[in-house]
Amino acid sequence: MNLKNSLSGRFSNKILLRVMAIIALIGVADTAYLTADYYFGTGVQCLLLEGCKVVLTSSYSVIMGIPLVVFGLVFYTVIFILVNLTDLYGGRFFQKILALVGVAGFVASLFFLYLQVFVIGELCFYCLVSLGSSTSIFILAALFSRNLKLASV
Amino acid sequence: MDKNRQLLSRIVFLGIFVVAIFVIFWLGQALSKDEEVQAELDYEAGKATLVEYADFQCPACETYYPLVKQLKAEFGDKIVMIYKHFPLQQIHKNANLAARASEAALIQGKFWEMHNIIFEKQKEWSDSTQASALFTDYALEVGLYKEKFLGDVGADTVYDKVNDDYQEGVRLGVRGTPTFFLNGKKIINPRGYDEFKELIERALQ
Repeated sequence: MNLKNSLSGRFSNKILLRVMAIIALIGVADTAYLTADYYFGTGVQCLLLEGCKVVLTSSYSVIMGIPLVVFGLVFYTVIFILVNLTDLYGGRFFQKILALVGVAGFVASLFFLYLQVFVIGELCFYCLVSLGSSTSIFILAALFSRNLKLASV
Repeated sequence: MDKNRQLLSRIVFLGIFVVAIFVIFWLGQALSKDEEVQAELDYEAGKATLVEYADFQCPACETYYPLVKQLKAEFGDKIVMIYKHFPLQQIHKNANLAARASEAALIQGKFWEMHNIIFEKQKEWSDSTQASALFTDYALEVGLYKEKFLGDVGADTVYDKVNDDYQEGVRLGVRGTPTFFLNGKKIINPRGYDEFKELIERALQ
């Protein structure tokens, strides 16, 4: 069955990809804001939760000299590009990579949530936005994979 | 070919999106930060006010300690030294305790004496599990009343003072220690005494 026309799930693949692209852009905006702060000292305004500065300046915010927010920015950029590759070219290859990267991002976000709650003891609004984005991408990528599987049966 | 062009245009859109975010926040910072910092860090006209955000347990701060001390000795009343706490507790387990010990000494009017001895004996207490007992010894050495000192080290107001300094540092863009502000402006850490001296002389002109 043609990939673009498969509507086997509750949501069409086209809609799933569009929503994923928008969420990836939210993630890009979130991490770009924090990256700009890290390199230019633009200052972060803590929203809703007070702990963002404690989290963002903790020793866990940098790995091998590279701030985690940069990894986040790269992650959402890759997701955005993969979503568009899947949208334009279709095919299982990009979909599989998208699903794998989605799982990796979700697992990493859960680990960062663990660090915030149990190690640092503070929560950061922007990190929670990223957790929400990566979780949504993970769920949407899983739905998308399920749609494709059902379509190919 | 059409799909390639579409993909390229979407990636270009993403690039513009990221660059726009950087430019917006960088411009915002460039327009407001200096005024904000200068308003927050008071300094006296005609004098050089050097604010240092430091962590007693950080080796780099210990390296700068004799330089700052030498500056004070050379410039005397022309320079105002302000020490602010920025304990990096995630990597320095005794940093917060050291900061509180110096604040407890301040209550008895001996902050700088305690500050000096804490830096001079950094290697002794840094990794010690008996840091609390060592700080009490230092307190006695600089002439503090032991009971009062011990009470103040654990006081809420002392905890709050250290935490307030830390939060203020974060707000002013302190990323590591030591970070110096000269007359309200963040400076790049000088590479030696002569460079530091030159900056102070320029600030006094």
